[in-house]
Amino acid sequence: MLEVHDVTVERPGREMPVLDRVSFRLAPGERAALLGGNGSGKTTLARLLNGTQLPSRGRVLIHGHDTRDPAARLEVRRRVGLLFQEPDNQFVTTTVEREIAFGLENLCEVPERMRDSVQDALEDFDLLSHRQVPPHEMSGGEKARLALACVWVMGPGTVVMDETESLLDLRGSETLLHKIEDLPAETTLLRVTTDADVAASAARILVLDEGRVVADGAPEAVFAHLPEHVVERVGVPLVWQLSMELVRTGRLHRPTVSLQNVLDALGMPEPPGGAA
Amino acid sequence: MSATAASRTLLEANDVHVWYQRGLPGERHALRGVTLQIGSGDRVGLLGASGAGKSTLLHLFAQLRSPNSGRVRVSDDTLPSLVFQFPERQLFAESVRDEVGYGLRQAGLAAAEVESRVYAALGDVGLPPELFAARTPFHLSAGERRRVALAGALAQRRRLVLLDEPTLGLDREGAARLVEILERLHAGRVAYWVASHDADFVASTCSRLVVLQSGVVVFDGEADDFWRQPERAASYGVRRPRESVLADRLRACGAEGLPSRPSAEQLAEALLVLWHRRSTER
Repeated sequence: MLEVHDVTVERPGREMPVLDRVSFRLAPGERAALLGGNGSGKTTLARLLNGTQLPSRGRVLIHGHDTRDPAARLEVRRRVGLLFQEPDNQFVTTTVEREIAFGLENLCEVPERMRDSVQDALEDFDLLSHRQVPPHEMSGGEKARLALACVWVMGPGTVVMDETESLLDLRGSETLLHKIEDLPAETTLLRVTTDADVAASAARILVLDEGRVVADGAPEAVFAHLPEHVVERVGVPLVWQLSMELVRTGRLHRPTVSLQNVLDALGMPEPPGGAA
Repeated sequence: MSATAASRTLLEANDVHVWYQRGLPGERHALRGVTLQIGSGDRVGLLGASGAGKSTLLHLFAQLRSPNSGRVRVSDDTLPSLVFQFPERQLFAESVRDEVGYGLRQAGLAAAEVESRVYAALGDVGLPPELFAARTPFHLSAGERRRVALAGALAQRRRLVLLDEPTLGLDREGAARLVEILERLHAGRVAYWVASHDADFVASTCSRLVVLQSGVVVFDGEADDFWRQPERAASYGVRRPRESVLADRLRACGAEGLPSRPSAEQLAEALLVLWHRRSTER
């Protein structure tokens, strides 16, 4: 359980706080999206969840551990894997292989187990041929895959991804989707994004605007009441726009973010394989 | 493509090869015989899977690195300006004004000319100079810093601007603003190349696409020709615009007559036509 209790984060020299009395909970196994425009406070919120940012007021509890408690810091970081927006910010070693092993070494994993885990991660994230490559010599998308591998190998109970998908190519994002599907059922996932279409794939969407949570719920409920200025920043999903057209012509009762729902409502089953 | 009647060649790459870590563990052959031309006023999207060589090619165009073999020839008056991935990292001056004018002062322009170009460029990227010129770049938001870096490139007034993943980390409002900036560049006959995985952005700004696969040019042509070919895009590991992807799904259901990048209205229309056809058949 991740609990954010009435959290405010102040920034020195600024009148407006970055986050303003934010509260929410994420239950084990919950797959949620955090949607917001530039400067809404998303990255600060993501960093709160593994203790790399501490609240000015309020509390963040990770499985009951307060992130402000120095004694709980290692436990918090172990449980919550954070993928930064810019993968370069999290690399510390000189080869891909060492980079993946780095976190495990810090946890004093036995060498044999570590070798297996690193090998699996290299295979899973399509990095086998890059084993000896220095991370800084890789392309943006390869760095994003490496960052994912480094977090996945630790087997965290919660994964927080800060716009990680924007650096990935088609294959990279398909790999990521499969890895998300393969996560243990109890793993909590929070995808931070500026893109309504990415958020629409989550069961729950939290919308952040100027440091406040302005909506929290199922995609349909959220997009039905999103303030206009937030829509300008994050858009609405394309299927939502399409279904609004159908509502206008009276063919659909209520808009949806799922094409499957649209087709079902019109009595047109999608052919197998059509979802690709 | 690049060779319309009024167009002239700004830059040419002939049989260019680049290696990283040559002869060392982790050696990579990043570009393998690339031959390309850039004409004045070109609006090119550079696509390809991660590691295909997109950034390397832009760095070659910008003369930041030399090819291991082959030639990159730039016409006399065309040194391109390059906006890096995460350009907000390259800022270093103490004020926005100094940052944007840095290259111009290095080039020896008169102070008055520097000032007028800096103010114009800040206006172009949506940072009113009266509010931003005196501020320090390091206290700005990421999106604002991105625009400061872009203003630095625009102030150079080069004929060719190269942008590496320019929408990374930008929300839709920021991306829409960037679309407007590129439209203004195009109106001023400035050529630009955009390397990106953001197919929606590339589709709304580029008429020509160049696709790289493992360092080889596998497509160089009209953008719409490419967006129409889902299997080809998938085989190169390239994302397509969300409208094109949704259109494929409707085509798979039997929808007809959809363009390569339909609007939400056109998608809804095609779906209704299909629904009517199905109901009369029943």
